[in-house]
This record gives sequence, structure tokens and C-alpha cells, in this order.
Amino acid sequence: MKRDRHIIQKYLDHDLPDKDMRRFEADLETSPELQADLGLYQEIDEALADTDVLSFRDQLTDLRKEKQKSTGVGKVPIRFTKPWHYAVTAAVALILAIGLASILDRPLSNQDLLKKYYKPYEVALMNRSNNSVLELKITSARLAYQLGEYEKAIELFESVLEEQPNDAGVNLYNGISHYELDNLNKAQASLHKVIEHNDNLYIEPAEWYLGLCYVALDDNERARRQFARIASGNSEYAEDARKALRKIRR
Amino acid sequence: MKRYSDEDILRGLRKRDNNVIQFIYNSNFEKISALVINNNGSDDDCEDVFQESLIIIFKKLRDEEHFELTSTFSTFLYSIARLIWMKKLRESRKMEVTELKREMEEAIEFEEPPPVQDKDLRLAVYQRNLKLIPEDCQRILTLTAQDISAKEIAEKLGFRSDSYVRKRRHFCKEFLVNKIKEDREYQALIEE
Repeated sequence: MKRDRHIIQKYLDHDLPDKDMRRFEADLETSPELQADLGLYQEIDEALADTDVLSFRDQLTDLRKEKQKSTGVGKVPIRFTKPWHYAVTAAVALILAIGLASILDRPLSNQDLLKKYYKPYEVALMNRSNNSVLELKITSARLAYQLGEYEKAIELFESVLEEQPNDAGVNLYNGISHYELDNLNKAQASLHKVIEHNDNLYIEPAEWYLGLCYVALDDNERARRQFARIASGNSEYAEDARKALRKIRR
Repeated sequence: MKRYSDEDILRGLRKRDNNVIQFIYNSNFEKISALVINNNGSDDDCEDVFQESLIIIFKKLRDEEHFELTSTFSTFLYSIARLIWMKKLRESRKMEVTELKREMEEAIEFEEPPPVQDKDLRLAVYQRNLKLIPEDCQRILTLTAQDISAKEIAEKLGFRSDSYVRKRRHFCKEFLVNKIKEDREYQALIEE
């Protein structure tokens, strides 16, 4: 059976149900590897809790940098006397440029990726001619969504979906509202409905937000596949998807 | 530069006084650097060994209220640096090291055994690796280690929910553990 990859941390946090706790402790008795991992987790916690030493370490690192700056440690005067010096300089400049490019292109944490690329889908508030109860609910739900009152919006969107389960626009906004409240599984389910419906105007944003959902779930493999699919098309999200693909961690 | 007595140095180090630390650096770095360089070390190794030696003394001063030197401060610092470098050489290069090069050691006193445990070196590896993971991870892990709740962390760091913080914390911890396991110094330490 595959072991929960966070089981050691959950054990240390006393977050395991009794049954799993007993099984973990039984495994622990017979597995030196698990014992070593548990020891490592405990020692790491000890190192992280030692804020005195952590900040002293930062202080020493700062001093070290200051010292290197003021004494010019590592700086050697360069004199250009021969043609090959210029060639070396050009090569160094090229390497630095490549290095700089790789820094600018370096992966972002998932949190930073979401900060950079996630923003709620903009709602279009329309004056509807048909003033049925359903239409009023949709208008109120969109208004709540626009105001960031996502719980209220979800309540109204889901009440609409009871009657019109395939309304793509409502499913999209409902999915994004769930995303905002960190109900990522529900968000995915709503966005999948939009995509599976396959004949509406909201497929492209649904695909994009689904990719971001995977990022929020730290499922980078699926996020990458999703962004690759969007990047290969010509939707308005293709460019962002290409950029996100370059920035997402492997 | 102002001179400090050993007593002043211990007092200043306890309070992490920058002037005292600079004084220690100016009066001891060269000796420690020569020790490391003459025994197969690089400039970075000198800085690392010096830093880890000071951290060990700092912890000793913090944990032992009545700590007293049995030699001069310089000798004590040098002794710790010497032992750290010998351990590092042994672990990372699989060399049998019982003595460092005599020509530069003859003139400098050292006392044995100074208080350097393998655990000190492992904790240093963990803390160094912490600085190599994303900044939000560093903050989540250190705040959690201080028993700050996920809810408070979410508020403090502007994350959207405490459940996100909990999930992210698992990811960050796993990321840190993997980084540590890949660290050559850690591998050498646990293989010893």
C-alpha cells in the first residue's frame, strides 16, 4: 500500500486517526528507514524553532557580505592588454547574460505563481429583460461575486444550478467562487462541467482556472499539462499559459 | 578599533553586539582562514567554519548561564574551528584526519576536546538549507515551529486561508527534507 507522503508530519502533529497512528507506530518498530526519517523531521523542527540561532546566523551572513563588499574580497583588477582578454570579457558577458536570463526565468513557488497569474474572472452584469425569479437570482449571484461575497454567491449560483445544471456561465462563476474560498475540489468539479459541456463561451476561462486550481493543489504535473494544452491553442490565455509553463516548478 | 577583553567578548556575544562580532572577526579570522586554507579548504570553507564556530560558542553562552573560558577566547574559538574543519574533512573527503598540517599549527595553542557535536553540524545543515527554499516556505515553517497557528500565519502573511497554510506547510516541509537529503554534507554526516 502506498504510504501517505505527509504521514510523518501528521504523526508529529498528532493529526493521524487512531487506526493510522497504530499502524504507523507498528511500521516504525520494524523500519530503520522510517525511524531515521522521523528523527530527521524532529531535528529539523528543533533547528527551525531555534530562532535565536537562526537570526544570529542571518546577522553573521550580513556581516560577511558587508565585509566582502568593503574589503573587495574576490575582486581582482582587470587589465586589458591582449586581444584574447577582450574575447574572454565577451564570453564572460555572454555567460552573465545567460545567467541573468535564467534568473529572470527561474521557477516561482506555487504561491507566487498564483499571485502573479490569478485574478478573478470579471463578471458581466447585464440588465436582463426577463425578470423571472431565476434571472433575478443570477443577477444577485453575479453581484455578490463582484463584491467578493463568495459564500453568498455560491448559495445563489447553486440554487440556480438546481434548475439549470448545465448553465456554463453559472458553473464558471460558481467554480471561481469555490476557488476563492479554497474549496478546490468543488471548484474543479464546476470548471470540469463547463469544459465537458463543450459548446459554450466559457470553455477557455474554465480551462485556465482549472490549471490554476491544480497549482493551488500543488499538483504541478497536471497544472503543467493543462497549461501546455492552453498554450498550444489560440485562446486569450495562451500567452499567460506559456509564461506560467516556464515559471512553474518541476 | 576598540579592543575588548575576553569578558567583554562573551558579554557582547551573548547580546549579539555587532561591534563585538566585528572585533572577533578582525582578530581571529586570519588564523582560522590559514588553518583551513593550509588544509585543503577554500575561501568559502574559511567563512563557513568561522561562522559555525561562532554559532557554537553563541549557543553555549545562551545555554550555560555560568559558562567560563578555560583558555583565552581566541584559543577557544580556534579549537572549535579546528575540530569542525577536521570533522568536515573526515566526512566530506573520507580522509583519515587526526592531525592538521603542523607547520601552521605549531605556533597556535588549542585545547581539546572542544564542544562540537555531530548534532551541531546537522542542525547547521538544516538551517542553511532553510535559506534555499522559497521565502514563503521559510516563513511558514519558522512560524509554525514557534507554535503559531495556521490561522494566525494566514493573517500575518496574507494567505487566503488557514487550510492553504496547512497544505503549503506539508509541501514546504517535504521540500526542505528532500533538499537536506540531497545535501552532500548531510549525506557525509549520516554515513559516518
